[in-house]
Amino acid sequence: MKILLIEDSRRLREALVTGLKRLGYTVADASDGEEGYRLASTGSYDVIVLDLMLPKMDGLTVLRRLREHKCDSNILILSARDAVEHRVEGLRSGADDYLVKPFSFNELVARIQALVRRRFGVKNPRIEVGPLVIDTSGRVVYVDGEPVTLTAREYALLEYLALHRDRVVSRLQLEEALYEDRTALASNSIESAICLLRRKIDRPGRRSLIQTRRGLGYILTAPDYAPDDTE
Amino acid sequence: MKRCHSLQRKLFWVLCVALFSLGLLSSYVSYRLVRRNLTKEFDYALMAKARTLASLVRLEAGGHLEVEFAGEAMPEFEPSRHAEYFEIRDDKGTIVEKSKSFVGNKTFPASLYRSHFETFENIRLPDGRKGRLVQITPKVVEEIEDSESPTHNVSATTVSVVVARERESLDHALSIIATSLLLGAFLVSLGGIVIVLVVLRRGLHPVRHLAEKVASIQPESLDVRVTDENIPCELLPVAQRVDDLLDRLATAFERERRYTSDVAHELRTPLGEIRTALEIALQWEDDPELLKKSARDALDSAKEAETLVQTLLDLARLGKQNRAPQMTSVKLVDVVEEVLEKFSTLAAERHVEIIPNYAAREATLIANRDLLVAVIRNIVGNAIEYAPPYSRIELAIREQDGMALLSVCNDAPNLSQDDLSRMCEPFWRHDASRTDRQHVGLGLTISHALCKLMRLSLDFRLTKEKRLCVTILPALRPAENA
Repeated sequence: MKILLIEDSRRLREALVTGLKRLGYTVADASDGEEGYRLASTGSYDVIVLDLMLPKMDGLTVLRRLREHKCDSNILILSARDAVEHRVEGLRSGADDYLVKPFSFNELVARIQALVRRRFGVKNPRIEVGPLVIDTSGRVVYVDGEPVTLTAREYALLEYLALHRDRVVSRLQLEEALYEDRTALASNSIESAICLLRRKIDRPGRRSLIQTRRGLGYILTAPDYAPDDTE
Repeated sequence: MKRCHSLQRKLFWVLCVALFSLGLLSSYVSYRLVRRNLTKEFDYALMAKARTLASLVRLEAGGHLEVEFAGEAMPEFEPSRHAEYFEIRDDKGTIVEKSKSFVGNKTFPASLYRSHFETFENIRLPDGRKGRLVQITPKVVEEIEDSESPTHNVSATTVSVVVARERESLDHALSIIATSLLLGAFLVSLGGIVIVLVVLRRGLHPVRHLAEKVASIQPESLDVRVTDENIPCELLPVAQRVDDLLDRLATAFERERRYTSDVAHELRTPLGEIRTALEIALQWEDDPELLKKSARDALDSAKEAETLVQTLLDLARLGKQNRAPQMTSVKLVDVVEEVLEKFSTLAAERHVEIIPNYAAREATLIANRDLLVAVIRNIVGNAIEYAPPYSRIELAIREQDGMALLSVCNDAPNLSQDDLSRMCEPFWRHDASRTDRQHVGLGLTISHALCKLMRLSLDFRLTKEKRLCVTILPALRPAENA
């Protein structure tokens, strides 16, 4: 899941980037409105966390310009302005959510998760794919009712595939969603990550939950729906 | 709440008392007039009778007095319930004639005959009724008839004629008149009170309306104004003054709200940083590096918040301070050089050149030295930090009309004329994002407060070349255009 954090407070920005990355999110950050707008308009982010009082270009201008340019990322405003009129103005300008500082990190994460679910049309935080259950609120994975321990990156990969369940996800999409700097990626990074994930969620004697579509990408689907031509 | 005086009630009672008093007074005056006239007529009638009786007295030859009185011509002197009385005495006090209404040997007491003038007196009549008498002392002349010559007087004497009649009818009439007048006064006063009540209610309606409007004003409705087209001229200055006060109050409330909001905003950012840093540190508490960095960040944020709170407290104390600080004559050059010495390193780091111009080297300002140093340090510090690198800061001490002025001018390409009026507002920073956490935007606010305390003022000018000039000058003196 790719998140863009536009926040001018260095300490807050660094703490949030650290926390979100440790939860498996791919996080880009900007310290002023102009840079934030440039990143948001050139990259594809699932969620943009946007401060309002920014140097060079204020947050509301960034928000309006992004919406004018058909940016479809979900935008969460993170601001010290708590007045109702500020919140109303932010939401009316195109924001999807508004969180007032100081805030709980867990609340921020929960709101980001809600925005991600909304982006992929999923309402239930519990995603079930055959024997696989992903609790996105607790970031816990079960197979046949047994908990599975995943790294943050593995969880992010599985959650991304689960949010796109029964749909083919290209390697490029996965790279963009999971890695901040694709230029530094090894050519087989995704294959390796998929391979490691399969080892943890697949059970012997059963067909793999993650199927490879040659030349297209990967698809997470329940074994019953898996087409015959899978490898 | 202490019960207040009601203007309407007070006016009502004052007017009631005035109306009643006026009614009573006018009744009394009227009564006195009527009484005087009636008594006068009563006395006139008595006098007429006395004169009639006097005309009946004749002085016969030999000094004998004869009264030609015929009882049937004046029946009122006959004995009856309403009888009147008369008595005629000669100059020796001997009764010559008296009315038949005297029963037996009764006469008027001799003490009545004391005066030789016409006198009226209230008495008790011989039959016990209240009465009034008149006493006259006409001169009676002896008349001798002569066929050849006209009548001529030969001798004369003085007699006393006293006529008395009951006066109860007069008293009765007077008491009826007095009662009528009192009743009339009472009724007129009552009518007057009703009119007063109505007039007061109507007359004071605008005052009541204004009071109700003012009373309905709440902190949430400071946009209400009391002046409208129905306000009478007499109340217009009051209403306008109330509106002026409301304007000022609304501005003060807005400033207070903005200030509170600014304070909250300024504190939220470091609090948010502290909370996030600690939450993340606790979530991954097994990572000592993250724990250390988070703790360091939280500490830095806490220090910033502490500085902000301390500055706000200082500002609040300054606002409360009524006592003037100890003022002395401060030589400006000494203070400026002391400040410049402290900022020399920062100026070098920022690549700004400070050009002192001491046109009035001996110039002094009446100020508190320590506070003046704080103000100059803030202004010079701002100039160094906000001036673009490789620019010049001019620091001038000059005299004008015998008063010292200190100006600090630096390039300020991003400032506008509109910014000048807001520079001393709490938390104002040209960068609305307030990213620069080294400055909380209270320095100039505090400097302004300090100057006010020292009876100095700060003047801000932006030249056409976009140079900001801040001048410290004695209060109430217009600053020279820099």
